[in-house]
Amino acid sequence: MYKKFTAFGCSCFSYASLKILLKVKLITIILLSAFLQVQASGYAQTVSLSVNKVNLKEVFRQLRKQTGYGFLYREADLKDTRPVSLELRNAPLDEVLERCLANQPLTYHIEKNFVMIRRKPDLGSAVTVPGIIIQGKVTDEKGEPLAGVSIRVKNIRQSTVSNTKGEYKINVPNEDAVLVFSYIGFEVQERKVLKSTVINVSLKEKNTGLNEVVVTALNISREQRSLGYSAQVIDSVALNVAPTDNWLNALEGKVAGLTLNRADGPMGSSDIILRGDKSLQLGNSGALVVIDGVPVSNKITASGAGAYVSDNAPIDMGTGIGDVNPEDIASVSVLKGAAATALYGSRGANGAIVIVTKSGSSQKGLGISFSSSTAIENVNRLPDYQYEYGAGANSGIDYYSYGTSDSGANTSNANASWGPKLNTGVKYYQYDPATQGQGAEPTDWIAYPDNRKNFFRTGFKTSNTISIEGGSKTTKARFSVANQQNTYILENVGYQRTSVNLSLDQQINKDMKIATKVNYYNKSSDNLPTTGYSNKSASYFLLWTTPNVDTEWYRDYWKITNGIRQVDIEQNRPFNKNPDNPYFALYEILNPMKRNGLFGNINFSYKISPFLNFTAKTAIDMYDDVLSNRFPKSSDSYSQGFYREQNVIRYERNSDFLLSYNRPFNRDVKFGLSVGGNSMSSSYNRTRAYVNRLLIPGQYTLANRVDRPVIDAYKENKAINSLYAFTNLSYKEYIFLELTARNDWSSVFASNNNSYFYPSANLSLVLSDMFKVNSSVLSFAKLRLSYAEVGSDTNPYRIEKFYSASNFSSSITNPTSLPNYELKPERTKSYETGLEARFLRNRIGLDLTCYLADTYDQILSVPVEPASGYYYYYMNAGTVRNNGVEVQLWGKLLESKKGLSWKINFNGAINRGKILELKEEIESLGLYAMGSTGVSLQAVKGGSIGDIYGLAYQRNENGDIVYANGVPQLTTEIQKVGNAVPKFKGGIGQEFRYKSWTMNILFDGEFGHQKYSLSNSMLMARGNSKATLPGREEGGILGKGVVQNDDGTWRPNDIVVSPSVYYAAHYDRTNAEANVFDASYIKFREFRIDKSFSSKSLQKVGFKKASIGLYGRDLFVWTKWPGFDPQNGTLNDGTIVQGIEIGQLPSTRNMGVNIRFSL
Amino acid sequence: MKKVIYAGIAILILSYGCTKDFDKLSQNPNAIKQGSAATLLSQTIYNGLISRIRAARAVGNELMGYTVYKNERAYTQRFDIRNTLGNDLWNRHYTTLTNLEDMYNRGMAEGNANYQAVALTLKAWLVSELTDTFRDIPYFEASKGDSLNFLPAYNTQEEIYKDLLENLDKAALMFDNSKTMSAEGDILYGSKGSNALQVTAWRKFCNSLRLRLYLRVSNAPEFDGPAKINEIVSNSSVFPIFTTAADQAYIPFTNQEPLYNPYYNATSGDFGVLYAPSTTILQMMQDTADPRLSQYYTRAVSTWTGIKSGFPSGVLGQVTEGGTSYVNYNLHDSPRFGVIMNYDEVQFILAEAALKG
Repeated sequence: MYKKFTAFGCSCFSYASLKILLKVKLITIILLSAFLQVQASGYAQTVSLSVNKVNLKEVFRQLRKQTGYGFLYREADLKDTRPVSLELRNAPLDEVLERCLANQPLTYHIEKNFVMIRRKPDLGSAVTVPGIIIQGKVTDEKGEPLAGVSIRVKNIRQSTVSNTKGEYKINVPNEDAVLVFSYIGFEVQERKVLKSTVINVSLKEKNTGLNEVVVTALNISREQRSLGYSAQVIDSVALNVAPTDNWLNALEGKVAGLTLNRADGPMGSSDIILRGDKSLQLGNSGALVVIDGVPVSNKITASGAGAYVSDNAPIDMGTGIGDVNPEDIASVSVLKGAAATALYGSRGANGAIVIVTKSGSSQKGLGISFSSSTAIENVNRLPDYQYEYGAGANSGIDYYSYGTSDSGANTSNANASWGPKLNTGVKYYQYDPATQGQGAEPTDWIAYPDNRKNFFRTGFKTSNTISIEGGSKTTKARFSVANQQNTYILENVGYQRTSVNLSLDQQINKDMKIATKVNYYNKSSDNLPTTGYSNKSASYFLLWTTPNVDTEWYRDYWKITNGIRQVDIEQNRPFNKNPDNPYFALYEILNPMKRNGLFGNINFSYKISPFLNFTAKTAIDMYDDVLSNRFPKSSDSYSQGFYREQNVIRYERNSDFLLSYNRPFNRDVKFGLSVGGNSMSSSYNRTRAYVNRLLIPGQYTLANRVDRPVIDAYKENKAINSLYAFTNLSYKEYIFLELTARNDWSSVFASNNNSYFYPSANLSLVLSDMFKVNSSVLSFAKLRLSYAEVGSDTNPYRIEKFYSASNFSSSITNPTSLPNYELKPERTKSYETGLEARFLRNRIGLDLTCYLADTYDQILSVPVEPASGYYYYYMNAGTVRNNGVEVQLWGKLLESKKGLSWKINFNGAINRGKILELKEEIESLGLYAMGSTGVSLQAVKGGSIGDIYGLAYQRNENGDIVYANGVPQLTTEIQKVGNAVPKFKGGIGQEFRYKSWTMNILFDGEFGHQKYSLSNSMLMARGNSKATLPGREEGGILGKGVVQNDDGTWRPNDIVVSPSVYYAAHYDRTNAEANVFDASYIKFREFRIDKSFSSKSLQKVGFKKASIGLYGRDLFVWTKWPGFDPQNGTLNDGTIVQGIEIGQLPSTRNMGVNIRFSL
Repeated sequence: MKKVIYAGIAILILSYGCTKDFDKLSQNPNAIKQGSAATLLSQTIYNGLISRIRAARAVGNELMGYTVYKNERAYTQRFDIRNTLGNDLWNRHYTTLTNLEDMYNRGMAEGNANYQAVALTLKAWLVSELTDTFRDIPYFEASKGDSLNFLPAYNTQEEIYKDLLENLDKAALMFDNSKTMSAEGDILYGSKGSNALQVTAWRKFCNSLRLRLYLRVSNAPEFDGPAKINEIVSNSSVFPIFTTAADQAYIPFTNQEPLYNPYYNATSGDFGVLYAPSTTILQMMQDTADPRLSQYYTRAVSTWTGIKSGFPSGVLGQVTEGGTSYVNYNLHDSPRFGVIMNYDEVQFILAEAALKG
């Protein structure tokens, strides 16, 4: 009873609160300092001990070797303890500890894998000593109360610990006494008592970052030092510096080697690319995203198809992963290489993002916290439009007339701005929005500067999260509710998302535990924007409008005929008839969506014996999407109106088990073996129905139709079963070796090819410990080496030929892609080596990684000669080699006693993706083509990933551009004109702290890559860019180039052409060379300034802590890019295409305020 | 307790290796494993028709001067034939031929000679268009992707025509009124009312097509064209041909799913405005007061203005200044493009044959 008392009784509240803090601190930081000694390793639960009069220190050492538990204690506390004599065999650790500490002034507590040893709180005896009673409160720098802080009186055996509120009370003999405050992870502080009886103390966090714990594959927590491969951890604070629509985007600039391919629009879906594209199929290189051990879909739900002049233009409806509330995330581990993810199997081949969500804590009482962000959003960059010349089809047109007038024939249908000069005082007959026709009188021919900018409004976003947590000794629970509202920069566009998250953790008995995490979310939007270059997209309209037009004139978007507004029947397109009226497009061509999603898992773990652990888990990720698209009559794509509904139900189940055996061989060698299995089954069901002609205008249901609705359904089912094993060996805590093996069986292959095996190995050498380096310069050094193979499968239904249903009755047709029964798994082999080092007492850190990964036997849909009857044949072909270097550097540049600190960290990555091999008969593989313009992404043997191809200027042998009739000529064959993969990308983040103030600044950038811009072509060829002004006054331009003489020699071009001819010929969209630009950029990515409060008044109101922060995201962009944003990709057919910009939406600047408090 | 768990784990492990449901999972639930010969007909005809219309618009119209593409890179009207120009017709026709290959084999397996004959007829239609366009093309080894022949050898046009005509001669005698053809799986002749009428209609199409091909090779003595034409025309009971407009191989676009004019959803800009008539065709039609003029084209402002076919690079601005007439947008949903072979053509063939003797 007494033992129980010491362990959990009188000090239980402080231990309970200690747990919370330990959870926070231990996961991220374990301290090595003069005061505390930490040693940690694997864990075993029973011990045998045979000691005779051995001091406690030695006993702890032996226990550590046997159990793998780290022991935390202060040297001083062991001073006056008695030697131990004990004889125990296979006794539980608890028992051994209790026996050892019986009759000692010590007590213990087990948290995670550590045994904390501390003095027994001496509250009782304090009363007996006469003197002064001092009380106060201990907090951290942010004013958050610290529980479990040890407070002792210097040179006297008198001590206590702070309670959950951080309060303490201690008896001191006199005014000269000195109180010593110490706490794990914090610097020790001494305070003289003097005359005060209240001493409040704010402890400063130690600068550490030493033994970080990383959540690796299969959700296994490992110490950073034991990993033989690169893994980077981002904590929830870093994720929430400047909240974004899709939290993934908060990783931007923070992880070396991570690239986000982002789509346009409010949802901000992105593909996560780690260490470059490995696949020759677009959209196939994305990293796996795992939440609490559950792979969650990062598949983009996109309505629509092609981005380039398609009736069915793409719309980004978001991803499952984007719907996670960032406030629920505890940490994110980025496992970049195949070695890190060999245990995730097929889907981990491209690396993995492993997310751990927040759990409850076993603190007593409630913990309620609230976070609220409100932000505004506006366009952060516009192309350089010209506002000097108005509409006119070509340079020969020297007047303007809306409709036929005294000035001449109608010129207002021009889509170009080669017309008369604006703002000269001249008057023309122009459009009158009031009458939707020609103005009664000629009006001033003026520019409407900012007419494009004013088309966008200021977006507004709010996000609120409330979470409640609490628990007891055996139960931990956390519950959160969040709501997010977004109104986008385009009118009538936005969405809302509500999510509910529950985490429950129950210790059934001392060996068994069940836990569950469930996340439900509901997302809906009344309208999401159409992207790409098509008549109804906002970007299309902006490329077609001219400077003499006020976009406000389009607001009255129904046509008035004979005084009657043709609501639902005919739109008003006052100027060129190609773009839909933009307000008609935003308010009437609607793309609403609704999604209900759920992901979560149920986890059972059982400690079969002290050395043997069993866990089993079932997880599910599912969602149900209801999307629709509506087009009123008279819309450009569907003149008779159109309505479509699409329902998607997707689910994926993962069930797995893991049996782990861990037992140290002896004091130096530790061994662990785990065997596990996983069964995955997924299904995707999509039903789509549309009606192409509406019976009654303005009503959008499948019943409102002229013809029968056309229905198509698509299903995809897949299963993968796997068995895996891994073993960990360590020697003296400085050599760590891990070997893994996995076999997958995938249902997508034929039975003779559906089983595939792959191994991996990684080694970590802690050099600084190996060679016992004890230097003030080098604090830590570690070398990593790894090798891994991974096999991947593909989409189902590629092994056997099936006929497709045709829309004609009683009719089927051959597929155009020929399946291949012999398909076998795609393979990746990767090698990685890395060095971690820290200098100057851990004030400067370096992490360097080199890697090489070959992805071969890629499963590709390879174009074949159509005379064979097929366009494509699925086969294993092609090898892509990615190699690169990643660097992370961090340093604490300033750390003053007054509380000022300055931290800086830098990350950078270089990746080169080479196509080593394609199949012999394949010259090149088209990855994406922009219609029939020749502009495309091609994979060619010996070329690089991301090579942009297209027609270029035809040149003579001297490299001069060949002209004919005054305009440049183009090559007849496509050639390489650029590469879309940055040569280098990196970010620099800084953190400044001063007392309760914190400031974060992040810049990042990508350099040395190119991108094709359709927007540039349109703006140049139509005279809407400032760059088309030269030559206008003169009325003609003599192009710089040569013309061929009859005898084959060259003479300089001698034909002057008008600006409209000149620019249209140069920047024609098929001229890839002229429209490819350096897409390098630097972005001021994140900014935040935070103030935390810890004043007493705050606490009187009942707050534990509170903070307010101002933040900004994507504040400025520096780039030569001629369009809106050099970074965003083009959403096309559900994948994001990099390198070819096809009418993009602007990128936005976000500025907001974030308030947090907890009760 | 422990034993139960161990046993449980063992069972779990065993069941994991199991892949017995995989066969079922690997079957495509969105498609059909095997269909009868009849099911391969309608889509095939429609595909062939569409490729033909697209090729006419992109290539034929430009070369003939029916249209002049108003673009700096209007290569075709300049007779600057780019490598990719023929891709569309080549790719579409060849992939359509796969269905005919299957139809012939299925017809043979089903013992239904009608489908063999239909397959041969349609194949002759598509292949003759291909070889007329490209001359020597892969033929005997074409459509053999299923047996992994992705680089079929080329054959000469003579060899191809010879085989096509032999096949057509054979097909003309294979039709059998007693074998059933599916009415609803035939967009071309399924609405004839009875099986006999449907088969006869195909027979007429087959023989009419023979006339077309034999006339085409009538100057090459080895094909014996004139004699064959004579044989067909003089044996109308064995070799019936189109005798009224109702017989012709023509599918009017209803513009109801799925029978759309391929330009049904095209915008006025993409469809018409960018294509001007050539001055030559305008002049011809105006001279003859051709009533089709305003059906085919739309006036510029008030006058008929064409572009001279073959305008060079760099003068687009000049030739289009002041606006041009352009292709009538009404044609984008016109039902009338669906012609495989019409009655008029047969009449012209007969006239030409008569003229040549």
